[in-house]
Formats: sequence, structure tokens, C-alpha cells
Amino acid sequence: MIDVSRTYDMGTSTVMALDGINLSVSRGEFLAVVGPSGSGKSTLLNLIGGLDRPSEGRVRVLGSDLSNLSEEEMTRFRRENVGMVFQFFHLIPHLNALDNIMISRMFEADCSVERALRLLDQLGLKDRMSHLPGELSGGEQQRVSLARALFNEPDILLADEPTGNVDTKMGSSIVKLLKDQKKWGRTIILVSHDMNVAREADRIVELKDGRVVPG
Amino acid sequence: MSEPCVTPFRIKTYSCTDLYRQYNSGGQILGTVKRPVRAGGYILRLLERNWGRGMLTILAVTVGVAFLVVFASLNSGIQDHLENRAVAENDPKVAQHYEDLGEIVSKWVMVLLAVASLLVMLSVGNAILISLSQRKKELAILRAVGISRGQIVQLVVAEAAVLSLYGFILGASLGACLSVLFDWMFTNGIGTSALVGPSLVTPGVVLMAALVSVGMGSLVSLPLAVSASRVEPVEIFRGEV
Repeated sequence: MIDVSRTYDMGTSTVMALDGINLSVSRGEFLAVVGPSGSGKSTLLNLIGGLDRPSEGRVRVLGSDLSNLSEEEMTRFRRENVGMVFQFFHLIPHLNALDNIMISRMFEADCSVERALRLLDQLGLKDRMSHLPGELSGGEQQRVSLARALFNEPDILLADEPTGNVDTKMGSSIVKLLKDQKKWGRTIILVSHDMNVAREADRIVELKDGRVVPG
Repeated sequence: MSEPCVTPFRIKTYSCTDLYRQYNSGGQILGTVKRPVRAGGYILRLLERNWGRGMLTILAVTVGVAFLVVFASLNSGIQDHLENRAVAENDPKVAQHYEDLGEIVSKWVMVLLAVASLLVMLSVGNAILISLSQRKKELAILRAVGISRGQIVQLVVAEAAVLSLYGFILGASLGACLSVLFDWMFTNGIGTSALVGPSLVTPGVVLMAALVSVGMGSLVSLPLAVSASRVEPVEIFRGEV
């Protein structure tokens, strides 16, 4: 990220979520981003994941300058390169666990149900495949969300407060699962306000008021 | 795991237990399935969840299509009858009168057909509008995981087409039954009209009803779908603390 700023127009005022961020993450690195609420952690993650675009500066991910991508290219970038895990899971409520995992491939010609089943198995959800999100516990929903993020075998895994809505034991399990992804050469960027979670990462970056706190 | 699975990738229902057993035994799970079928599974799940609203829409489309079929088939019967009377009539003034009458009836039937078509379009449009306003977050999730704007448009239009199709099937069946009933009543001297000939449900009438319901239903949902597809992926965070 080179001199990245993100401002939001709130009618009469402007909120600066990120202010001139410079950040570089190596391939295969596990990075934790910490900071208080409103420090810009989630905004940073959204920019790296191609969910949002910067107001100023450039975001280069896997050799692509995201600022220059068209809407269609950005969609393809998200589908093929990025897996995202959210605090509130964001599963489709009317689809069962298995369908939720495969949702990004709904329009694709190749879709491996076997891969989805393998993920369910690995994440201990094999008895939950036909359950709707509303029938699953928070931890189970987060694991389905993780399986969905991993389904496309992404190069980058982004996790926004993945332990924020699950109990401590499940939180540790989720972080361990994320950490396991390193062995596949995936870059993992985790956002958390919990230092115990962040300490599991290779490197910690702290944000405050939209800026990186010098380490 | 007795509950059946319906994936967005195939409509066919299968047991999750069987699926998992297949997986464990190393068998082939599923092959590639064609695109519309997969999107179809998603839409069926969606309609299943909102069955109440879906039923209301289908009912309104059914009524509209039934009206269309009855009016159109009655009109063809009336026109045939008046034409025959005009041809058989020796007095040119009376023959002209029959022709004029045919034109008037035809115009009024066109107005009724337009009202019925409007009912169909408004029902489908309203259902899709409400559905989309309640599913903004869901569409944002789809966008966030890599579903394109064009694909969202396809999903929404297909949803409208499915609702309209159900309405068309029910409405055309109901309309055909009513037309046959009216035909039977007129041929047996029940009812008031001595001006009505056989009111037949022709393939043309069915085609028109299909075009109006499925075609117009899909068409009216198109601008709504395009507008909904513009949702930004970051909308998924709206309302979160």
C-alpha cells in the first residue's frame, strides 16, 4: 500500500478512515493488524480485499494495482485471489452450509463438491452440511465462513475480527485454522483488537486514527 | 442428516448422508452441471424461504393470466360469431352493424387485456422490489465473494421469471377451464349472450399469456435488477457496530 488514504463523505463532514498508509506484506506472511475501534483496521482489510477502493494512493496486491481494475476485474480478483472471514460471518441465510461454501462458484463451469466436503470434514462440520446458518452456533458459522473463504484456494486470506463473536476456545481453534493456512503458502492478514490473538501472527501492525503507529 | 440438500449447483434433491457416504468411499460426487440449473437451485431456495410473499405474487399473476386467457378466448368467440352473422346477413346495414359491434367489443377487450397485463407486471415488479429491498445485504455478500453485477441481474430476472412462470401455468390452466365452462354454458343456452360463438383457447392465446406473464414479468424486473446489482460489497458492514 503506497500513501493510501480513505475518506468517507458523511454529508456535512468528512471522516478520514485511513491517512497516508504505507504497508508492505510478504507472500506467505501472517500479519496481524491491531488497534482501537475506528482506527481503520477494517477499512485497510477491505482495500486489500478489493471490497473498497482508496480515495488516494495505490494498493498493489499480487502484482495488480487494484486502483486501476475495472469493476469486473475487481470482482474476478476477489473471487480468484481473496478469501474473507468476517466477524458477523455473513452467510446466505437460506442456503445450507454446503451451498454457502460453494456460493462463489455458482456461475462457474467447474465446481468441486468434493472439495467443499473435504473442507467441511477438515473443519469438523461434516454433520452440519445440510444445516442453515440459523441452525448453527457462532463457532460453526465462523468455520463455514472460513470454509467458504478457503473454497477457491485463495492466495490471500483476510480475517476481520474472526474471533469477535465466538467463545475463547472456539476463537483459539479459528486462529489455529488460520495459522495452518501458512503451510499452503497463503498470506494471512488478520484484524483484531485482541492482543492474544494478534500474538499468534508473524508480525503485528498497530493502527491509530487511520495511521500506522511506528513500531 | 436426513434433511435433503439442494445445492445452487443442481436442483435435484439428494440426501446429504448419501453424498457424504459417496465422498468417504472415494466415489465421484457430482459432475459439472449447466449454469441455469445451478442458479435455479439458488432461486428455489430463496422462494422457499419467502414462500408467503411468493405465493401472493403467484396468485396475483394467476388471476391476471386467467383474465387474459378468458377475455382473449371469449373475444375470439365473439368475433367469429359476429363475422358469421355479418356474412349471413342480407341487409348491408345490419351486416355493417355487426362489424361495428365487433370492433367495439374488440376495443373493450383490448382495454381489459391491458389492465390484466398491468396487474401481472405490477405484481411481479412489486414482489421483486420488496424482495430486493430486504436482501441488500445478501446481494452485497454475493458481490463480496465474487459474483459479478451481471450475474446478480441474471439471478433477479430469473427469480421474476420463475414467479411469473408459476403464475402463468396456474393462470393459463384456470383461464382455459373457465373458457371451456363459458363455452359449455353458451352452447347449452345458459347465460345471456346469443352473440357468443365457441370460445376456444387457441395456441395464440396461450402464447400471448406466456409472453405477457413471463416476458413482461422478467422485463419489468430488469431495471430493478440492474439497480440492485450496483450494491457495493462494503454494504455488508452496514448496521454493524
